[in-house]
Amino acid sequence: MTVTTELNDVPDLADPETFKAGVPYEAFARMRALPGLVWQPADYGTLTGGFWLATRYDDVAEVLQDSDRFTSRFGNVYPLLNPTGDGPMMKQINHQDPPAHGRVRRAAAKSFGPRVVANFESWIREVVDETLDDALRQERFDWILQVARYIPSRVIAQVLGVPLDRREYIADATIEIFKSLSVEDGGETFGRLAGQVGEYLTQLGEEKLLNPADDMTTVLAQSLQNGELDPVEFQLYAVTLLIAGFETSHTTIAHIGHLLATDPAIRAATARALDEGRSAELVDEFLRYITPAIRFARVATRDTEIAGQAIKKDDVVTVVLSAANRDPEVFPRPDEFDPFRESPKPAVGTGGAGMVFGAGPHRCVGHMLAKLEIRILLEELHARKVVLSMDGEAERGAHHVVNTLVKLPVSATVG
Amino acid sequence: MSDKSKVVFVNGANRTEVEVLVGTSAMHAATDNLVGGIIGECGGDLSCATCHVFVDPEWFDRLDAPGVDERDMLEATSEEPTEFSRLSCQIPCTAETDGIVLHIPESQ
Repeated sequence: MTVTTELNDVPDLADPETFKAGVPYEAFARMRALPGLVWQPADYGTLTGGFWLATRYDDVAEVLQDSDRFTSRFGNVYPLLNPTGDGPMMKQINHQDPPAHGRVRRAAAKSFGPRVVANFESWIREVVDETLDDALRQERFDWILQVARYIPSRVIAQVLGVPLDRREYIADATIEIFKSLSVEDGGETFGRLAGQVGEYLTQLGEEKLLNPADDMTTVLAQSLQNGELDPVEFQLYAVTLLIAGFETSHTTIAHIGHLLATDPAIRAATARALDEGRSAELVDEFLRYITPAIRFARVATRDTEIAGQAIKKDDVVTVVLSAANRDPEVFPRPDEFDPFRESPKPAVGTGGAGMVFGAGPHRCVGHMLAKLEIRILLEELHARKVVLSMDGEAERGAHHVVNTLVKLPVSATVG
Repeated sequence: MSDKSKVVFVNGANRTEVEVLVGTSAMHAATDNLVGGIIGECGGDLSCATCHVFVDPEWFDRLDAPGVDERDMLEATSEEPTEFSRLSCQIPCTAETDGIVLHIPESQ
């Protein structure tokens, strides 16, 4: 079956500026209700002049779980970062398919397992406590600068064994790297900026081999030494863990601040969930509702079909996680924030947070860590009886991928 | 010789028997037959540790020993592994495993 493809009156989803006004949930809902998939023409960043948008939960899962039919090799975001398929980014884990992907992923996967991450609880709580102590000394502050950037940069620095005095560098470098995803140069700027952080991590890895520590850079450097990773894979994997570990947690925490400051119903539901000891469901619902990474991309390896839509070899399919997480087939009343949902457990093993961490081989390796950071922050805000309100206007950034908030002036009262 | 092999999945009080073609992994035997508790998120890439099973002791020694990569990933399972733990994507169903009993961890 070949069905429709282009839609009128939909914002240009190839333009990052579109996302500055907000995530276009209404446009995604219209697309989701149509048969087949919608095609967005794009004069840059794809292999065939545009991309498909997968907005239903099951379609997104199908694409992400089938790396035979849908490869990551040319890039995992739109615009593609490795459009020739053999550029310098081909050794980044995000651009690898099985089995190379699994070999690289395993080098760090065990360090992110649930029983390992559970041991992080006490020191992450210290990080959160110190962050809130500092921020709440002021009555008014920028939540992004004082909280959303601070917690994940310190946590990922500790996990990777980056000295604490470099945490500002991590935050700044990561934000620049993510901005570069929108630069239309086939991944060149991205590669250059990632390479700069990579040089630093290579140097750090050499130091860790001399003085091994209980951290991820040591584990990765040992994998490099014993030949499980090559030097480029090491460098790019370390960079990826660093920037991915920072960015999405930072964006989620930014939105949590915004929602708590602006939405009394969300504030009330949050307090109730924490009083009833349902913090895991609360974290899942914040993640679903916010969905910090809006979408990813894959490229068809052959002529195929999704939802009855004919897809040609080399076509880009963008999988819109923000849309999948508002699919009423999976989450009834999808636009409502409700941590007490009766059946929030969709298939494919993604749990109550839905498609927020992706699916398939590339599903976020750090999902346990992300959930732990967010849970502890919510618990500590609740324990301190912090009440946030806006003290100016929130400001979004223009970004294809990240549901980005760049400014959030708040005032806070305690107790 | 039959080209089919039987696998028995035990999940709490539930017991599910499935029959698959020889060569199929035990993970696919579960996911293709909608057996709950075997997630197989990565599709068999040995990347996710969501197809963890406890092999019935009676059957454990009849399997080849797990490789080093599998032993690494067993450290990332949701439930504490035991001496009988395996990732079911690494267990091929064969004539020798016909009737194998696999217990599914509760927290998975």
